[in-house]
Amino acid sequence: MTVVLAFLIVVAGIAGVWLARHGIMEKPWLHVSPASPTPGHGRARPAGSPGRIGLRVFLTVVGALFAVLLSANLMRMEATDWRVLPNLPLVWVATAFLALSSATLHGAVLSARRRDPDGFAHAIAAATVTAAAFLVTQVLTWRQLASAGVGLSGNPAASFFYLLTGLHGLHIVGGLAALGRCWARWARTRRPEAVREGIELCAVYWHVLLAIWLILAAVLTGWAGAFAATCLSLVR
Amino acid sequence: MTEIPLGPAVETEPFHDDDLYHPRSWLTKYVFSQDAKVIAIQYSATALFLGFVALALSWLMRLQLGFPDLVTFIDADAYYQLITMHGMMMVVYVLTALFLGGFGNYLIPLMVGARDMVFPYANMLSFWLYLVAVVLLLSTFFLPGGPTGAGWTLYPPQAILSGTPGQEWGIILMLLSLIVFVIGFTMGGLNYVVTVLQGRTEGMTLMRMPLTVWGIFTASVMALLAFPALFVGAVMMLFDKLLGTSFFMPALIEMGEHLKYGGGSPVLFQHLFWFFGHPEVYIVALPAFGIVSDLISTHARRNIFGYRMMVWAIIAIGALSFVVWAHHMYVSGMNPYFGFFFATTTLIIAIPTAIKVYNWILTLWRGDIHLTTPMLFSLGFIITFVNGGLTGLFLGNVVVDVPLSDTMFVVAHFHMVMGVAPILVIFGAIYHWYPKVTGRMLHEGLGKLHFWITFLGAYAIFFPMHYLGLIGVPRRYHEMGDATFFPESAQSLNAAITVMALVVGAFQFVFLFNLIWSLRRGEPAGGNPWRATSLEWQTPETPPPHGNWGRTVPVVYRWAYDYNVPGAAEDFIPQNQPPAAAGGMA
Repeated sequence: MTVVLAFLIVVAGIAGVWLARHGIMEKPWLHVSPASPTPGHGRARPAGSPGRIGLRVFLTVVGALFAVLLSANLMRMEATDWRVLPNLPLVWVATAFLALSSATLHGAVLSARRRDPDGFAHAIAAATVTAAAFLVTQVLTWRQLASAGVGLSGNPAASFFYLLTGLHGLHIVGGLAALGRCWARWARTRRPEAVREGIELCAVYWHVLLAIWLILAAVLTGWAGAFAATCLSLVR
Repeated sequence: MTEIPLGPAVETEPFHDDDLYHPRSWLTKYVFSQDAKVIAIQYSATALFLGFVALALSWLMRLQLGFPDLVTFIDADAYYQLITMHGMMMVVYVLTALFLGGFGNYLIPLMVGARDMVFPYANMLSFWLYLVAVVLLLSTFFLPGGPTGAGWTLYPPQAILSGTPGQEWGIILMLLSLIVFVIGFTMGGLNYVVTVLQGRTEGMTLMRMPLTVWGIFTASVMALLAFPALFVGAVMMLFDKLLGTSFFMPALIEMGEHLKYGGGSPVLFQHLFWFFGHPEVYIVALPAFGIVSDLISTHARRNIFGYRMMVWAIIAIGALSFVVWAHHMYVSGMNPYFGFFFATTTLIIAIPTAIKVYNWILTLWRGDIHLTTPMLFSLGFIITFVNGGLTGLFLGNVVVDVPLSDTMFVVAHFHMVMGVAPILVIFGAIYHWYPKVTGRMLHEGLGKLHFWITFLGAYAIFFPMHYLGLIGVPRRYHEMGDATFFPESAQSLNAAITVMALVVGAFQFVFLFNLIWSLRRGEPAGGNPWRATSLEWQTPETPPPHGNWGRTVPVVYRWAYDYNVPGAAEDFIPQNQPPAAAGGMA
């Protein structure tokens, strides 16, 4: 459970700093605010809209989910029936698509900030197409694995591959649904600034899912293990 | 009584807030409602119904243990099904749902001065997914093979093997139900957390929040971080069951045939389960801690002793509860050094917990204690929690846990600390906030009768159970058979426990009657019958209308515990009362 514990330590650190900055050391019995309209003693709320804060909290939950899965993966790897998966070049093609999707979504955010409708439309279309291409590539990777005789059961490495990439794919599908709402609003208003917050939230979500994907890809393809082994051999 | 001037004028004309959801039909007002108060009542009613179902299951269990030949249809399989469903229902679908979905939804917006939760639509979905999870769970009673009998911990490999009852549909639907529950809770949990972070009214700083909000908030954060482990465990076991993977399933021979599984790790499931399971204890306990703090302060007319330390203790318990999970696994064969580590963290968590107990006692010390029903339940909680906590120290130590593991001692321990203690708080909280929810008081006489029977009865049930455990009576056995290593009196004790369980269970219907009877016949409560300081008691109307606060939301000037302030006109000063109107030293 080392991965999830490390993740929780990071979360606890951020929460601790946040609490310290928001008056956790206050002695509230000593402070009565002067009569209205002065707000109460101390900082009342974190900056940002509920949507932004909500997304951060949700992404923390998503992080916990994948940290638990990676912990389970590492623990299960120790069994003798674990066999390394065949080389899967399509994983890196999918990675490229997701990175492109993330980058173009960031471009959409910049266009929305510049109030550039043409740039916004192109960027959001490119982000949607590349995200869809990521999902299609992922399905092709599964088919490639299956045609190589590596099914869901049998090799636990394959079981984890299907499970982890599948769950990640479901998160992308959810993100596409949110992006679809931005599309619909954009189609109604044709004003990038009207969907600016939504597209910013989608971009943050995409960046985090890209980061999670990079970790997953490194672990599932064995690249992370090989890298760790190389580092250990250098130390020894 | 002196009229207490409040802060900003609160007008009760209908307000028009474009950001707030407004129901347009009976269906969207009372069924598919996005109002947190309606959702709270939906959550509470569903959880209470399920609580009574779980109570009936426990009666059947106790009848089998106390009088083995009395109920003929309870064989070993049926008994396992009863304990599994009772345990899972109570821990996940009753206690968690009531504290977070019920009290969280009702109290968070009102206590922090918000009009509603920040994501009302997701909040509504949260309840309906919870209901789907409950329906999935209950449907197993009517499907071939019945519900799963794997035990509430659902340990593989036995959970999905053919010798275990409910192997056909029961385990599948149980796992699906848990998955749906976690998704639903995530939607609710996001609301509870973000509403506390973003929905607080002007002046409501973190350190002015009542401890009830702190408890529910911290428990929600913990649940958001712990439930993914349950989700992952359930999904992986479902894969093992339906798709033939071997995440948890080792190589097995069943009926002389090799099964398709191989290499899986049952201990991996235990790690995942208890990584959720132990924080779950505090997901239930922390809201109880917070609520009982507010009940004691209000009904003893004393400011809570050591407020800051109480907040810090809640946070510390929440954090530490993530590093104690393997104390449930001392007998799983894990590395003994892990046992030493987890025993140490388990003992450390007793420190912030003890701080809370001392502070409750010091709040009561020289207080103007009103022995109302909520106060009686609060006092009952403190005593019960200390009792259950002390036996937890026994079981937290490896050398004591190993011989006591899988005995009735463990059953007695966790029922005291995680069953009876939080349920006493739930009852106290319902007696305390029912006047705000309905505008009427619950009948005090019936409430006190309910308390004494429940409190004394619970001790009559679970105290002797410790003794049964100490002499070696095992748990999860549907009858003791011809075992000779414990005396005949053990069976007499079992029978006595069963009789008390039937009596205590029956008196819960008195509580149910009180809830229904008082809706129309209860004494009118007024807006603030307990003369309490926190914001939910300062609403312009009782029960609070949609949007809670009329045209303007309240402004907060002080913490939630200004009771008996020297020089003040009254023995309490509401949080939204400006300093000039309050008088006194505060």
